[in-house]
Amino acid sequence: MHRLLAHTADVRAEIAAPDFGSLCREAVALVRELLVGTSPVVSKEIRVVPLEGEDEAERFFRFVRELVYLADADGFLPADCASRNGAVEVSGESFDPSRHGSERQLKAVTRHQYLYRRAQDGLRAELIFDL
Amino acid sequence: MKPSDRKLPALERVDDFRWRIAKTGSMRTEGLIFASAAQVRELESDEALRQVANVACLPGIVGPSIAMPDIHWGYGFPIGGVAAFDPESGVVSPGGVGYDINCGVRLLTTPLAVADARPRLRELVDELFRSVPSGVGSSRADVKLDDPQLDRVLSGGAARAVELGFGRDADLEAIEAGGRLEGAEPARVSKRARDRGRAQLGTLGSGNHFVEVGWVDETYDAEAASALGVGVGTVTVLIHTGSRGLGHQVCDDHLDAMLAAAKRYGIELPDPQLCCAPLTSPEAHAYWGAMNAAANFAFANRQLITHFVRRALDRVFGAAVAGDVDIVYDVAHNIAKLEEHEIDGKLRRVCVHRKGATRALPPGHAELAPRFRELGQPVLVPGDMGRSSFVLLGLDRAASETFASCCHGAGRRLSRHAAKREARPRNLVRELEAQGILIRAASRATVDEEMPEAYKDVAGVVDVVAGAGLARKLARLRPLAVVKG
Repeated sequence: MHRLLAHTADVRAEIAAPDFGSLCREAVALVRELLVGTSPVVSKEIRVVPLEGEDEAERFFRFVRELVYLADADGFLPADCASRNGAVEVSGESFDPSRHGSERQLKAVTRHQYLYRRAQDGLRAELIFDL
Repeated sequence: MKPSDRKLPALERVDDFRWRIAKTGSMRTEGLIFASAAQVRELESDEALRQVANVACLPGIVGPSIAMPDIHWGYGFPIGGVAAFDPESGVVSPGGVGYDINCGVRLLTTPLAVADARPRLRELVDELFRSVPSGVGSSRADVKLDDPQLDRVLSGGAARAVELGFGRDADLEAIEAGGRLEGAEPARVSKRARDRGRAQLGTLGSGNHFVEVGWVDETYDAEAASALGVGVGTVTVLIHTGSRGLGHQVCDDHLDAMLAAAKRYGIELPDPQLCCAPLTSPEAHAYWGAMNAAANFAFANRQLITHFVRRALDRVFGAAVAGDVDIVYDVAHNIAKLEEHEIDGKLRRVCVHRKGATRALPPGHAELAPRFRELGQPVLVPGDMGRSSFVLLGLDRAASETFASCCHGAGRRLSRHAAKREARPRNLVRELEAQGILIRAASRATVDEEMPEAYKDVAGVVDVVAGAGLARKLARLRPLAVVKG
């Protein structure tokens, strides 16, 4: 599950999932929606994102940050992902203006009021994206 | 407890335009907010007030933690925030500059009158939309820089763009700092930042960035307005963008280093996005070199866009019109700079962070080019795409009270989410067209999120800075056509 929450200037989102791998998949869906809305994105190529950071919260934050980087630097739109051996394999394709709607560019994911916690039903994160 | 559950700081009224947050807890100084009573009522439940108080906790802060009337919730610093730090005991914070380093505004004048422009406005806005890439994936195939070329842009800013044929020498006089900040160290800009920015020079981006064709519908000092080329009826072009992915990545790269630095130097952070390092530290030097390089990239970006605006005007109205397009001014509103200011009767060098705030030098300031010295620095304050924007002139009061700073825009009042919800059943492009304003945008989402009602009325923001004596009104601009990302 992911949803947008109120924030005056930027985009604040809540993501929830039963486990870390599913949380990453929700993050992929969120970033894709922010970039191209409901345009279908196909898994044509794989980008491997190493999971780095001192704890799970930091590793998740850096994973989302890498999704933003890949979109801006390479025009890579994420479709899906799978965690393997300390990394996340993100599948997707390059932005194609003839097939993908342009919703908004993402400048960054910020650490402001970043929340990552274990809840009864799994994991929850809150992130603010700078637009 | 979530940070947002904590009580927001209380405001005390100083006068009709000034409010104070008293120094409490770990605050090292007080907060000073410029706002009307009505704006304060909107602010009282806003996280931005807490952010003003948080900034006041940072080491080496000189004078108050300041907020302009367009203040709204940012990350780390509030948007509309100004804070100065002592170069020896103070800090530099990437969160006090923002991701979009040297995001700023440039105003151009054309020799066209509204009556000349209107019949060919659709053609012009289509040409601008084609000439200045915007939205997701926006890049230029015609301007791609290898590393040595990029290094020269990072060092030389707008001047390098002019050397490459994108503009003329006279343009540089009308840009803050001549379009080139000292202290840029291209070697401090990472490969990741270069990869993000390499093909983005001369592009707009998305969000609140725009190219707007407008006209001057009112002036408040006809002689000064005429001297700056913004007489009533003049058709103008306003450009709002920054350092694109290169700047965003510079910020991201250095935030991690600053988080570690804050721990190392024992700096307590009320918000991790306020992470910072002592100005004398190696971490600060590294950020400083990269930030100034990114700022120069932004000046060059607006210079290239100016070139492509001139080319669009040439294609639609001919070479004579394009050849008579001048820059009124170009200001940064996301930046940290070492500047000299008079503090308690003495000249002191301080590091001024302006995040969503514009420099506003008063008349006579030595840093102003001769043509602005008598009048003061033009301050460009864009509003929303349906109402108006303003040109102001800096005053002495800004120099003595706000480190020569002023507001930068209207300030949002609706979240993007709320704006989109409100816009969903409407057709904003058609509504604005009915008001005589053409919109060309890469995405409907951006138009909806940027709807006029999402912003405070910029006239109210400008009235506060004018009432407080930080700047005086020179001209009001009305939109005719807007290109959005």
